[in-house]
Amino acid sequence: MVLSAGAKKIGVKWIYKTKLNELGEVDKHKARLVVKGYTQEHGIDYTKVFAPMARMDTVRMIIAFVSQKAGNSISWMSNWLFYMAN
Amino acid sequence: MAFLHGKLKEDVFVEQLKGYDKKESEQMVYKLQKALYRLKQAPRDWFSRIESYFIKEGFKSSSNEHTLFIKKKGAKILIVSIYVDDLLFTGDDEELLGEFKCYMKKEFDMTDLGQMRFFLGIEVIQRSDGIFICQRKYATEVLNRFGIENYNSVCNPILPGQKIGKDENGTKVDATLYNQIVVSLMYLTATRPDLMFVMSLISRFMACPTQQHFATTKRVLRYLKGTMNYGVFYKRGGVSDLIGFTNSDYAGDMEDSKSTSGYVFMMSGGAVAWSSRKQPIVTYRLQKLSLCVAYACQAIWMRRILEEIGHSQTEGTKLMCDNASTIKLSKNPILHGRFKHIRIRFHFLRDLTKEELLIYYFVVLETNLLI
Repeated sequence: MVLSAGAKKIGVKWIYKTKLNELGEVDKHKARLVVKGYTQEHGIDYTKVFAPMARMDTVRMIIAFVSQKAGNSISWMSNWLFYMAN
Repeated sequence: MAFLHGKLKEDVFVEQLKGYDKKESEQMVYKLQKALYRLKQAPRDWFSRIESYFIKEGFKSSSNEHTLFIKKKGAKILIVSIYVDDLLFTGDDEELLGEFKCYMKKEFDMTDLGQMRFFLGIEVIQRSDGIFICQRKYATEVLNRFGIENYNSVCNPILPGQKIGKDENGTKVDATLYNQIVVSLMYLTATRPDLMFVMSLISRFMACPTQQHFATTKRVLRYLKGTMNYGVFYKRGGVSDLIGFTNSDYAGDMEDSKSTSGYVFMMSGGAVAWSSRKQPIVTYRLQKLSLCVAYACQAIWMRRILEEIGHSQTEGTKLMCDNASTIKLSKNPILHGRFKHIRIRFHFLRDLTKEELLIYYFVVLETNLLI
């Protein structure tokens, strides 16, 4: 679409990463499209920011709680397939 | 690709992709429907998206911790904690867990990584006798980065009783390197309560570090070298009730006579929360008691979280401290003119004690864990 008057466009670029497996061999090549977020200005392009980060105290309390329960374990999900190698 | 699921509230235009641009209309832009990585509003939009999804699925959002979600089905429970685009979850019902995994995969393209072994650089070892957390891998990386393989290890992070001040006449050292070391070490306090005090100390000199500060920092690295395998072990069958310890020095800072106070909370035989910080106000003996308020707040907050995750504390939380006046004041309404300026804080403490949420105990120095 045509950029309306007064609006700003943001640059985009590709990020390429090569993921290695445990043996240090090339596992896969990843490409991800990112925006150049640093050109955005607070109050103009966005108003509120918030990163949902759990407090470590909470995470440790969950771990301490689960450690008491036989048969229970903590699982996790992510979009970071990379961690699976660890 | 969880981040990409956030729905944008603002209009965001991006330029055309290189290689995908349309000839003769390079001035045209795309309007984003969904978030892209590195967009400033992306984490927030992603969170509101997943939050509304959780609420729709019958989760209850914790009022004490926004990133904690709990779903209850009869006596069964499912706990989910969000860390940006990582989710950690646990529960005692296979059905609830399976259902949850299934719709997270479908709705957000998430991958099930199975039992948690590694989270934000923290190794989580889940065994039948308990759970151990440590940052061995991270510690090794830090040591390699600052090249101290050939140093001898030492048995404590700081010499007992050593006082460090601004050292204004000392030889200045490279602040960039100093700060890099401090920042790298700081992350280790996630599983290392033993480093908390010294980290809080050395991070005060980041603005203008000198040779003396650098030597203290190096000692921390040397200590780390000998203790890389240290972590916290939560033992099955350990005391599952929360218990707190606190202590503070008296006017420990050489320049401004401010005190440093610390606390640690134990559960399941391991520390779950800890802190060590210099107080923002100068305290004299009597005022020292007011430092306990922060400690009480933390205890109350932790009790609430534990209640939400299905581990209600039936009895008052035991708080150990070695300050007799705090204990007295929390029990009896002996208000003196001298306490006027901190009266509100004491009322808060006393109310908590009255409701029997907190029980103060006097412990002598030797049994206080912080010594």
